[in-house]
Amino acid sequence: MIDGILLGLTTVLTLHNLALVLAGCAAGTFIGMLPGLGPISAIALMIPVTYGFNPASGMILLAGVYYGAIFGGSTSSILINAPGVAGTVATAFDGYPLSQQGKAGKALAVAAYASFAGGTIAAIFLVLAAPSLAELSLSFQSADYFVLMLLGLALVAAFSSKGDYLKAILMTIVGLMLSTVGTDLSAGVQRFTFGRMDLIDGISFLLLAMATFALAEAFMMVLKPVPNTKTQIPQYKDLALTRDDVSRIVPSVGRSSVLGFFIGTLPGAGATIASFLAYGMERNLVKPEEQKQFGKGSLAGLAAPEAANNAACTGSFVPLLTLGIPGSGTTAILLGALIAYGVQPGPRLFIDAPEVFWSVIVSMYFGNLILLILNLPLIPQIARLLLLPRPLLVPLIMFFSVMGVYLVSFNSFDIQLMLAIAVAAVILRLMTFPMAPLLLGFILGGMLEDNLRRAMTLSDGSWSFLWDRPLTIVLVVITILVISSPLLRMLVPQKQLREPA
Amino acid sequence: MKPVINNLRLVGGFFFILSLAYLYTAQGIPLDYWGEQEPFNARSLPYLLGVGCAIVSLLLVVLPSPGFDWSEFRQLNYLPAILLLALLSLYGLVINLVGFFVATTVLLAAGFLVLGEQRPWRIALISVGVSASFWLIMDLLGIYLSPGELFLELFQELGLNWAGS
Repeated sequence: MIDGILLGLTTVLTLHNLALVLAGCAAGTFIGMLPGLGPISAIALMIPVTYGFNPASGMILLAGVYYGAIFGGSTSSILINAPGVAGTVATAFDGYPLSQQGKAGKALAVAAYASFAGGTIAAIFLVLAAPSLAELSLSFQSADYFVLMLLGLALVAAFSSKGDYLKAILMTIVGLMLSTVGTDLSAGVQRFTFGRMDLIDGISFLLLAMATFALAEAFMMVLKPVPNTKTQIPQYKDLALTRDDVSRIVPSVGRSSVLGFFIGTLPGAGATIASFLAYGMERNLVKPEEQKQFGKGSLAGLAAPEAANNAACTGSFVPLLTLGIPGSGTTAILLGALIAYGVQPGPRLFIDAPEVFWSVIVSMYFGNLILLILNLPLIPQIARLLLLPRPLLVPLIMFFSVMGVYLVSFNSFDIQLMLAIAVAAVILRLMTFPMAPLLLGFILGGMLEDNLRRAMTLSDGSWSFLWDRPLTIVLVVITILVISSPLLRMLVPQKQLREPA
Repeated sequence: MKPVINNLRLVGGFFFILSLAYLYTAQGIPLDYWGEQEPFNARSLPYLLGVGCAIVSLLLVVLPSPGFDWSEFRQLNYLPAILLLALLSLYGLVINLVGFFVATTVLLAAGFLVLGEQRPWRIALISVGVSASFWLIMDLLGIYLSPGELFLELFQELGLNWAGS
């Protein structure tokens, strides 16, 4: 492990890669701050930039963007009560009241320190957990992978909010269906290409991610403009915390970081769920006088979701790096980037490409450090960008999304396909259908089919591979429980209504 | 009670029809003799997905679900969104013809105008500035962006040699 950390350090500690962490954090902070644009869009917009780099540098930049986006989201939550990212909605509960009381500087500092602590604690957990998990997962066979991917997809749907379960399942299946477009690699036959040369290679994941996130979010900004209430960015100078402040937030940060990390490792649950759970947990655990402050500007109430969302971001790298299975839309797009770099993710990653594995882990830590020492003092300058007028911003975002895709293929058909998918995504968003499951399904589609084919071929076309080995049976049982329990919950209350006891 | 058309039923109905079309197309995926003998071939996953999609979308249609507030759709800013969509589509159609620089400058300038930016110097400065600097960065990175077939032909007519090509 020590060797690994040293390898990671030597990879990251080059001028080039440190500059990339810095650039990634800054770009991520800016994009994450813009309400409407989340980490998925931020990463998608930055992927074309990374195509010229080696995989380790590319991932270092993107990990920086991820952290930066979450950090930027908290900044706009605190300063203007407009969370740029779903994972920082809970940050606004106490962060915005604090900033209204003229304590914006203190609130930003608490958020930055809590994020840093959350990221640090989670990075230590990741270093300890990932290699042993990766070793364990080397014993996994195709059948286990197939079931594990199903489980991951099902968990994303199961963790979606009440009433969204079927919508998320449908979007996952649609994502899987989109992944079947193109040439089937095992037999070399074309599927769903309708004779078009442009579709022979299938739909590129970057195109889908840009269309369903960056471009769709830009269109949503036009369709639903934020009422022009002359956004005022509060003035502040003082970033210092008193000893009393620190002692108030330390226990909350500790508990929330651990909680956040474990929530983050679960496929499907990410920063958003972690931050809400941590906020709820802290409200019950803090001293009564602090409890009264919750929602009115409690420092603990601000620190908890911030520590948790950052820890969860780090935690979400565990299934990605050890199993090659992303647990969220954001890690799905990182997985897509890895595949595009020619790196085969999965348990063999830390054997075949240890420099990628370890440098991502180490760069996360540097990312957190850079956010703390560089971004915090720069926030007032970066926050001014929030005042950039929409009429200028939206066409630029659209241009960068389209260019990101066009520069890869130089095929103008891709632009039209992207627009068609973006229109569909906007309509589905307006009808409250989630887009992250679609992206996740699309990215896992190819691997899911490979593993199912291998398992099926090995068992001569019988589904018996599902109950041949104890490990597979356990995974199958968990998957069935995850898929069926929300369905049962949907049906049971209605029965109770019909037959009042 | 009359069943209401809500968001779930509308999208569910759409994807139900789509899944049938998908299944129908999946039947036409070409298979050779060996492919037909294999337990898992190029049609297998599409069949599973098509059936799955049909079941889930049907559930969305038939299961009882709450009403949906359609009034939001009446308050959306359709015109600028449609204009931007048309601009981007046009951009895709003409970028190979008129080249990156001209197409991008026009796209950005028109986009700013559509969204209500009125200061001409600002529109001109940003649209030309972004296109030019983007082209320059790409050039430095070794990515060639064509000046466009139209201009290449024109240069040829004039006997000029395009240095970048």
